[in-house]
Amino acid sequence: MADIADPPVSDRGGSFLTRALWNPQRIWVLFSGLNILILSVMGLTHWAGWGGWEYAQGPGIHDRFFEVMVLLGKHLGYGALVVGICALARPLTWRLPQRLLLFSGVSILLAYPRALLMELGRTTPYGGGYRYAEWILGASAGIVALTIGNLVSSLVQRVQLEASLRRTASQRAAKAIHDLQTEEIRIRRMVSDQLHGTLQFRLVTVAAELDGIATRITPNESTVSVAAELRALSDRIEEIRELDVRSLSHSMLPSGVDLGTVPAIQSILSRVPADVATSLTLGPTCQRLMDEYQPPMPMAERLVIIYAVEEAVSNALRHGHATSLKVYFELHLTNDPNRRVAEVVVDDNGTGVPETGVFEYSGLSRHLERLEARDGTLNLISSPGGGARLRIELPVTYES
Amino acid sequence: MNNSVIRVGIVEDETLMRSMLESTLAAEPGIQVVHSVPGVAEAKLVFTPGSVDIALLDVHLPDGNGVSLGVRMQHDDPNLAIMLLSSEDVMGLFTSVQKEAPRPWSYLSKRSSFARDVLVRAIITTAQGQTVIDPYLVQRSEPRYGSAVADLTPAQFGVLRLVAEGLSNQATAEQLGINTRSVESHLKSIYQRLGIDGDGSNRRVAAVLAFIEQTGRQWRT
Repeated sequence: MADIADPPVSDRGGSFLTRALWNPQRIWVLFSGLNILILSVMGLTHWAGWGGWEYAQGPGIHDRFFEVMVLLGKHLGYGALVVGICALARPLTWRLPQRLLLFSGVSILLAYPRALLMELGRTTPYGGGYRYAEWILGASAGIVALTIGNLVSSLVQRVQLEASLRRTASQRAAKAIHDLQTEEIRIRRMVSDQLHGTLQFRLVTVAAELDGIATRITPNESTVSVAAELRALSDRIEEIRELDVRSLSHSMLPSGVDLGTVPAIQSILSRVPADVATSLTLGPTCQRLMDEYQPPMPMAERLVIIYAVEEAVSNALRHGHATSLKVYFELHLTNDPNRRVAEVVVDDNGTGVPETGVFEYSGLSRHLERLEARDGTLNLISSPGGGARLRIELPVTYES
Repeated sequence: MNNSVIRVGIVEDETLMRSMLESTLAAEPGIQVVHSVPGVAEAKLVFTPGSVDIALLDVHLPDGNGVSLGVRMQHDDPNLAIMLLSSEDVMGLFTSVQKEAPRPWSYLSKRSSFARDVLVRAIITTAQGQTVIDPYLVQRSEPRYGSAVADLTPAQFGVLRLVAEGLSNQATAEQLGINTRSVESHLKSIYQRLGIDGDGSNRRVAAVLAFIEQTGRQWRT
C-alpha cells in the first residue's frame, strides 16, 4: 500500500473552479474583494439615498451614469489597492496580530487619498469634516473587508484541515485493516499448510500402512476378521482425515481459494451430500473474464464471498433441509476498469426465511458485517422457487 | 511420448511421499522418473516442454498450488499428461480445470498412491490420454440427486464407476463378470443418457467428467 499522504490538488475532485480556489490565499483574496464590492455598492446606495442621485442630474442621463462610475471606480480602486498590496505581503503566512496590523495599516494609509479623491466629486461634499469622516469610514471598510476575508479563509482552512485529517485517519484505518487481513491470511495459510502437509499426510500414511498390513495377512479363518477390522480402522482414519481434519483446515483456508472464487465455490458444492441437487451458473461477464484468464479477485474479498456462500449452503442444508441448491455468480463491470461488483445469489428449496431474527438465526450477521465494512450488501429473502435466497453484492478493486 | 518408456516428473513436498513414489516407479519397467522436485519454483526450472510425458503434482505445495502449476505446464506443453495427488478429496477443483485442459487430467488420493498397482495403472492410463479418478473416492461416489448420472441404471452406473477408475472395457468386463460386448452396450447407453457425442476416446473422457461433476461422496453414514 502506498504511503499515506494528502492527495495532490488535482486528485481532490470537483470542478476546475473548485480546484483553482482550493488555495486559502485565493479564498482570502476572493472574499476580501467580494466584501469591497458589497461595501462599494452600499456606499453608492447611501450616496443615492442622501441626494447624490438628484444632484447629479444634468442635461442628460449620461451625467448621472458618469458620476456613478467615477464614485464606483474610487471605491473599487481603493479596494483593489488595499487587497492587492496586502496580498503581495502573503498575509496568511503571518501571525494573526501582525496580519491585522497589516490590514489596518494599509487600509488607513490608502483611505486618506481615497477621501481626497471623494472630495473632487461633483455631487459629494468637501471640507475637513467630510474628509476625515470619509477617511475613517474608508479605513474601517477596508479593515472590515480584509478581516472578514481572513475569517472566511481561516474557516475554509480549518474545514480543509479537518477533511485532510479525516482522510488520513480513514487511510490509516484502511491500511491497518489491510495489514490485519494480510496477517490473518498469512496465519490461516500457515495453519492450513500444517494441517494439509503434516497432519493429513501422517494420517494418510497410517491408513496406507494399515491397508498394507491387512493385505499381507495370510487369509485363513482366524485372520479374515482381523484383516477386515484393519481395513475398517483404515477407513475410519480416512473419514476422520477427510471430514474432521479437512473441516478444520477448510475453516482456516477454504479449499480452492488459491485458484479463484469459482473453483472454491465448485469445491464447496462438490462437498454437498449427493442427495442434494446442486448447480453453479456463471454470468456472461464472469464467464468471459475467466475465458480471458483475467486475474482472480484479491484474496480478502474472495474469502468474504466464499465464507458467505459456505454459510448460505450450510444454512440451507442444516436449517432449511433443502434438496436443491443453485448458485449464480457474476461480475458487473463499472466505469472504473479496475473496479467490479461481484454478485452471488444462492437459491435453495428449503423451509424458507424465518420471520424473525433472520441474521442471528442463520449466523449470517458476521458475514453481513464483513460485507458492509467493504461497502457490500447481503440480503436474505424468499426465493422465487420457494426456500431462501441469499444475495451478496461486493465492490472489488483489482490491481491495475 | 516415447513408445517404450513413460517419462514421469514428480512435484511433491513431503519427502517420504516423494521417495515412495520415486522408488515405486523406478522399480517399474517402462516407467522412468526424470524429475523429482519439492515445489513450484524447482518445477519451473526443470520441467521443460517435452522433457516428461506425465507430471505427478501434489495439490498443496509450500510455494503454490499443484492445480495452477499443472495449468501452466500444460499451457507450455499441451502434450503433457497431468495427474494430481492430494491427501484430501479435491474433486471440486479437478472439475474446474478439466473442461479447459488440452489433455485430460487424472486424480489420485495419496492413500491410493501407496498401492503400487493402482499407481502404475493410473500413470499408464493417464499417459495414454485417459482420465483416471481415485478408485477409493470413486467407490464412495453416489449419483447426485437430479443429475443425468442419477438417471443411469445401477448396472450402467457400475460400468461408469470402473471407467472413471481408468479400467479398459475388458478389465471392466472382468471385474463385473460380464462380457466385453455388454460393457460396450452399457457405455453406448451411458453416452446417450448423458448426451455425450464425439469419438471414442473423447466420449470416455466426457463420461468421466460427467461422473465427477454429477456425483457426491458420502463419508459418514
